[in-house]
Amino acid sequence: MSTLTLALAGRWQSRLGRSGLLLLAALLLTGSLLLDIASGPAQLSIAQVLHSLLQGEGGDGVIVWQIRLPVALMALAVGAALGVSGLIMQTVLHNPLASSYTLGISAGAGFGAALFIVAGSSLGLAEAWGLPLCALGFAFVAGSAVLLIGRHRGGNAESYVLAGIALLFLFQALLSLLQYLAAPDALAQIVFWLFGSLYKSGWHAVGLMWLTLLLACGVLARDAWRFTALSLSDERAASLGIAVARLRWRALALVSLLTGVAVAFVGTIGFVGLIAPHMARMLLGEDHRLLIPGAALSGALLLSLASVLGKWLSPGGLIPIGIVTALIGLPFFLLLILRSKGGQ
Amino acid sequence: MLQLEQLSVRLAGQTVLHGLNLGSGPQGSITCLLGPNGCGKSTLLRTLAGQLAYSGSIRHAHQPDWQHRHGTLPAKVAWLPQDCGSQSRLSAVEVVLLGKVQSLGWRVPEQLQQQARQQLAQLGLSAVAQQPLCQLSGGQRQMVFLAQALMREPSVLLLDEPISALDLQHQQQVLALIEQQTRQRNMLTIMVLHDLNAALRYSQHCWLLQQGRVLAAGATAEVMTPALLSQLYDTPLSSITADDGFALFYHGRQALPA
Repeated sequence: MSTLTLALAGRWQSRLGRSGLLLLAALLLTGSLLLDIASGPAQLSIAQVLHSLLQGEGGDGVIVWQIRLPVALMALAVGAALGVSGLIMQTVLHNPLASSYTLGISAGAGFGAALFIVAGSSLGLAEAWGLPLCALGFAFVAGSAVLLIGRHRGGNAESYVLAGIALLFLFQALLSLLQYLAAPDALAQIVFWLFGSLYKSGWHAVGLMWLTLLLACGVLARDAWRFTALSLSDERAASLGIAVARLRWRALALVSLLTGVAVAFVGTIGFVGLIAPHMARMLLGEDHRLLIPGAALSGALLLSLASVLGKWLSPGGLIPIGIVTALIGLPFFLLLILRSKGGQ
Repeated sequence: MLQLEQLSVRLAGQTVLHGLNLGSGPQGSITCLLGPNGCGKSTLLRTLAGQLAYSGSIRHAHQPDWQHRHGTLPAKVAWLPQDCGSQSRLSAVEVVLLGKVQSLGWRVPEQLQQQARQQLAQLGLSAVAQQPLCQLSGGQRQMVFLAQALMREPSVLLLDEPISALDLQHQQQVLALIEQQTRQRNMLTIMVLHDLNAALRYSQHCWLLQQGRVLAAGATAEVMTPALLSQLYDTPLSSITADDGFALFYHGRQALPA
């Protein structure tokens, strides 16, 4: 960790206190949420948004309550889910470049969903629960495979990442095959959905996503200190009486759950899960009691802002959010790679 | 006292430890584990730390359930692996607090924080309590991890080469602290060392391990002889008597076979 980052983090911490930082993030998030609701083809003012939120579904209220609010809340929940899963993966796999997007878990879930789009109807399964279940199933397959292959290759930081990249390629290849085989209408559905879009979110999906998020974070929070210990190293954690292999399985299962559900509802959204944990770490340090909410808040903030930005860039066209996050995220990803080579 | 009977360990299909029968010194004493690279020292320590499956038996009066706890560290045991995890930005006092990780909840009781600070103070580290681990020197870091291990209030302390990465001054400091804490807390300390002269001066009991078998074990003064040590390391060793009254082991220049 570079001295500059340390100094920066130290200054912010001493000015605001760590909990103050979390509070500040929560405030920013509220602002971003209001902005997200206000932006769109019919631009509303913040006052109009607040009025509609308080008054219910009259006038602009229909737009706010039926269209904008569920989408905006979905952005928060999915961003938080991706942020937390990235954090946990980086901690348990000891690699700053780990996230469910970079290590094939998103791709696995994406393949599962595409498989359902192509073949699900012939099996006579309802899309409402068949697709999420299929995405979730393949997210678990990918998560388990990362652990099994990584452990077989020696279980160090590098081996898990190599396993993850191999899986990423595998699922992308399978996905291409599916796209090649799919009928035109199914193909269009897969492609649109793979870009990642928040506009499929109804209240039903929003509720499920939030429920999953809160549940998973609650379970993860119980292991917060153990994750902090694991951030030292596997052996150090074991020397503190932690059953490391079991903790890693538990963590990856929850990461797969968060990723699978997020992908099922909004498609694959990259880089939020990679960047959000780094933002949180820079400001909050290594204590996972703060990092878990911190990564959730920064992930939610990132995706919410990306949603606003997407609407500003193309007011009518609604650019898929996955493309926005990828465009913003890639330079940051490069920065991470460059810094981890020189800085450590 | 720790008693090992017929202790065997297999790793990746190969027997690494072959039916060891060993007894340690009593509580409040240091037992030293010596042997060439790859003889199974770290494996033995990891086995005692509950990390590896084994056959045979490990017995200790304070830890009757040693055998039933594969995969996790037994409760009354602390284990200090070789140094790693030093890039962390956790502060020294947070690292020490992690010694109690299994009983830490969301809120950390003031009494535990107090205990962590006292632990650091005992090892003379109060000044660096709030500093991040990555900014400490190697010696300070090793002592922070020693403080972390002591937070477990162990009756058996396992140390894997605690001084191998340190300069001379810090080697002496860490060894003196280990000796002091071992006596004060009436712990049994088992320590892997490469430095023969340090082993002779700081341990009361000694295990010599060669290719996964016991070459000799017993009181340090009796076991650490030039003859046995030459055999152990397969290289000629001599000794003279040093100023402090202990033997000083050395080996002279050696020519490579033509």
